[in-house]
Amino acid sequence: MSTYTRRDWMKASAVALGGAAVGRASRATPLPVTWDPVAAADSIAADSVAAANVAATTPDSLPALAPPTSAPGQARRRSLATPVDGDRPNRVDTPNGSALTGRQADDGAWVYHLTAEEVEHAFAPGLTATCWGYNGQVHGPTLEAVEGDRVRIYVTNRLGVATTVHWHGVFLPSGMDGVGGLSQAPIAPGETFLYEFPITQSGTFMYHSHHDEMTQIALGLTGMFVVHPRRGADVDRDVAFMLHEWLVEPGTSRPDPNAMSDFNVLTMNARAFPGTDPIVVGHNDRVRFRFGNLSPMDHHPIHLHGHYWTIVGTDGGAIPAAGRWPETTVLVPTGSTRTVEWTADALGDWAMHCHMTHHVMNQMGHGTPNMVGVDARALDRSVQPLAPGYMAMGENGMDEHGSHVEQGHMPVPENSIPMVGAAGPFGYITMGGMYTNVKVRPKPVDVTADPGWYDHPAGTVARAVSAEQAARDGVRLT
Amino acid sequence: MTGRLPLLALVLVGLSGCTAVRPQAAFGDVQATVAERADLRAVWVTGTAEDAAARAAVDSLLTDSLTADVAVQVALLNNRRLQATYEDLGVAQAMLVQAGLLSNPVFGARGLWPAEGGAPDLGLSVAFDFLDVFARPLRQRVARSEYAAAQARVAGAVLDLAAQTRTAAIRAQADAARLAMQVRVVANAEAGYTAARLLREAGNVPAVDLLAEQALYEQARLDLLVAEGAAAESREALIRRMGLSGPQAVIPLRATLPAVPAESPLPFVRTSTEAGVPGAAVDAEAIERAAVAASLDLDARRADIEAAARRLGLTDVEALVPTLHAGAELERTDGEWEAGPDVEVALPLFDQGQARRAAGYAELRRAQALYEADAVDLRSTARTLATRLATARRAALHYQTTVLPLRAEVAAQTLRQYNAMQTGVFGVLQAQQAEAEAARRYFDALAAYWVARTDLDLLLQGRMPSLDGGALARANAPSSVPPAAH
Ligand SMILES: [Cu+2]
Repeated sequence: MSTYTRRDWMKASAVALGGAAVGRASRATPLPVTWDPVAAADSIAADSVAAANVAATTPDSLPALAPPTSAPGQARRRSLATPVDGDRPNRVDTPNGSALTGRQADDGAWVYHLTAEEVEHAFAPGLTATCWGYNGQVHGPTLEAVEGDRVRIYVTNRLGVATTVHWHGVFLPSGMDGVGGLSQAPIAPGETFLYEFPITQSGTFMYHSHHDEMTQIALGLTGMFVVHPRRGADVDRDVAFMLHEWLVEPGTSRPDPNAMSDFNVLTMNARAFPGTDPIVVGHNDRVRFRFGNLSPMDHHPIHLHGHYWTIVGTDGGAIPAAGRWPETTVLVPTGSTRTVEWTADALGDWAMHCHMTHHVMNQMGHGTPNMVGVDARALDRSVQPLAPGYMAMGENGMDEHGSHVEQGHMPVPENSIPMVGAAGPFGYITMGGMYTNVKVRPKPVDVTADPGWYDHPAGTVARAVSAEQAARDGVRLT
Repeated sequence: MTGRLPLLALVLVGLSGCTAVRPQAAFGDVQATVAERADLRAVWVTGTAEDAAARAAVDSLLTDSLTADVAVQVALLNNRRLQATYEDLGVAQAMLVQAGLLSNPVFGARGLWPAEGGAPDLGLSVAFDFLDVFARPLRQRVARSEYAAAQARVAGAVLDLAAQTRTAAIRAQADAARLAMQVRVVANAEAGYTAARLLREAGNVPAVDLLAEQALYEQARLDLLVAEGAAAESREALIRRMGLSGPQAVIPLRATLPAVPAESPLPFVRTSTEAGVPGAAVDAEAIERAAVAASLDLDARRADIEAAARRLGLTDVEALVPTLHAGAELERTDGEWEAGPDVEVALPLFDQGQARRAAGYAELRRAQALYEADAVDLRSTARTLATRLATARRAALHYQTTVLPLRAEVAAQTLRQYNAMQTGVFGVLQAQQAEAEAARRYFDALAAYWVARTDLDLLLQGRMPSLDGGALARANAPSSVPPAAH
């Protein structure tokens, strides 16, 4: 097969196979050497969140993950429910994560138990790494409490090194603040420490290790800490996202905590697209998104399409109504939370993502030559005889990369995933990393299951036009 | 007298022994030696009808792709210098015949005419150097020793040429393979240059990157020139050994050397299955013993000693035994022929043979010293070759089983890294370059192994190889600097 036909065939087949459904629910053991979509789907079924947490509490809610499909009738509906551990119902959804709502002790205090430990974690289908987390998951479960609670949090250290937990943004006695060496002795391996304090505020907070932060935060020891106000829910959907960034080089299986700026896995709730579950909301729902950012080095401007939102709070508390302003993008600085509220008044499938373009790439290398505008066929002719299987890429960007890899024609190192995205209803979604889809659907809607792709009303999808059509509007196509 | 002359004639016939000059018979012994030791067929082209058959054999051998075995066979049939060496056998054999011949008898006649007149006193005599008769067996033994030495040297020359041809064929094959690798390296550098040019045309790299790639490419082309020169030279060296010229000199050289066999055919080299390391150990002592037992060089030196000793014995005989001329004389006295013996004796007054004896002793001592010197060299050579073979075997096997698959895997994984957009086209080319470089080094190692094998084979066949093989195989490799990382 000639270079020319191979290249064109791959492009053609990428379109043809773009919408094919893949995915099985059986547990996969070894890392795939080539990036195989089926094996990749298997590996995400072994996801630590589902396996470790759900199995212990609500076995029936084990989410059966599969990539989105353009043929919803044939596909299994993916569960989007957040597994919960505790006496109280959870009020905030943690996509791809879980919640810990506490168990009430005889004296009325709410008791939580966190165990710091090593976790095999799947960032996306085909990309798994040994991380550090709490209660068998990365990041730890979202702690939910209510203003006025007295919380009693047991922290067990099952790591090989000492650790502490800091309750980020929470007002508490200095000795409960969790700074190793300053506020307390570090929790040695095998030890369990007790943190106890009253909750005197409400809002969006976080928790994370405050001992050898560079290593322990980089490996994932973080979680969201949401405190609800005393009165009941004031929004229809309340969703928490922990933003993070990692360096997992293709062919390796442990995040590198020494990374300073070359992070290549950007996550929402420790998932990179296409590993992120979509967020389903009902039409005209009032929606609250809580973003926490414990990325080691980067801020993230998170942008939602088709809507605007109002930034209502930070980890310092609620922003007074007079100080709020509408936005479509909220900048979430590292070490901060941002809470936004919005009305889902536009039906459809809407992208939500970090607007830094390198943050919507998966495992992109940063040392490759700039191939844009390079005559790829001439390069192929020159290099292919020497390196069979070589094919020039990137001469017009990176959009073709994911589909080539996904079809298995371009073998990649073990434990690596395509630069971008996954199959969408109209072809390839050329985004990865800190990206997810927000699906606004007519009510009533089951927000705990993936509804599939939006069925656009006739005439509401951008389309190709002929020269005659364009000419009717005076647009001349020559 | 009538009763005596036939007796004399009988004695002469009896003494003459082997008087025929038959070097072909001697060559048969050489052929047998060579066949037994090296499984080679030597042919002496002596201007007979068999020559045509030998020429036809050469022609037919040259039609197939050329292996080292074929090259050796052609050389043995066709190398004129070797044919010239065969003539040494003729010389030695002739000398042996000469040694068996007695000096020709001296015929004398005299006539004395009395001054006062009368019948002349006529005398006829036939005189023999009788010492010749005594010394003849000794002289023949000396000549036989020299003849044996000549035979050993000719057989040695055959074995030498075979080994030299084999080595030349190995080097030519290795150089051809290295040349093929260098062609790959050039193609690789050209691809890098092309990539840089395309990137430059798209406006994506600065001029310095393009120039750097071009510099690598031009250097690779220069290295190719060197590799081509080396291949041509080693090919010519082979052609010389094979004695080819004209259209025959265009030999269809097979480009690849055989891989190192997993099981060594040499009994002394333990194979990888027996020890943990590929190629493992050699039994140098056993090789040493076998080499000493087989050595034609030592045989020749021993023959030299014997010849010197015998020459010394001969000297003693000649010096101490008075020169004795015995003959018969016919004399006519008073008209009657009388026959009677006549004896002359040289008095050992002046030359008592002391000078010749001293020279003889010196020659004996020299022959003994050379024998011992050769024995020392031989043992050391045996140990050196045993070690070299073991090392070369391990190195070549290491390339075969480990380094080359590793390099191939690195290239494959680099392509995966490329597919994962972790490295660019230059990373891919660099991995391929490293693979080609490893292959070229492998051919060096392979050549070193086969040359060491040939050298050791020659040693065990009884000839001492020159020990330049390892060094030459390494010196042939063209130098090349792998391209810098991009
Ligand atoms: Cu970002």
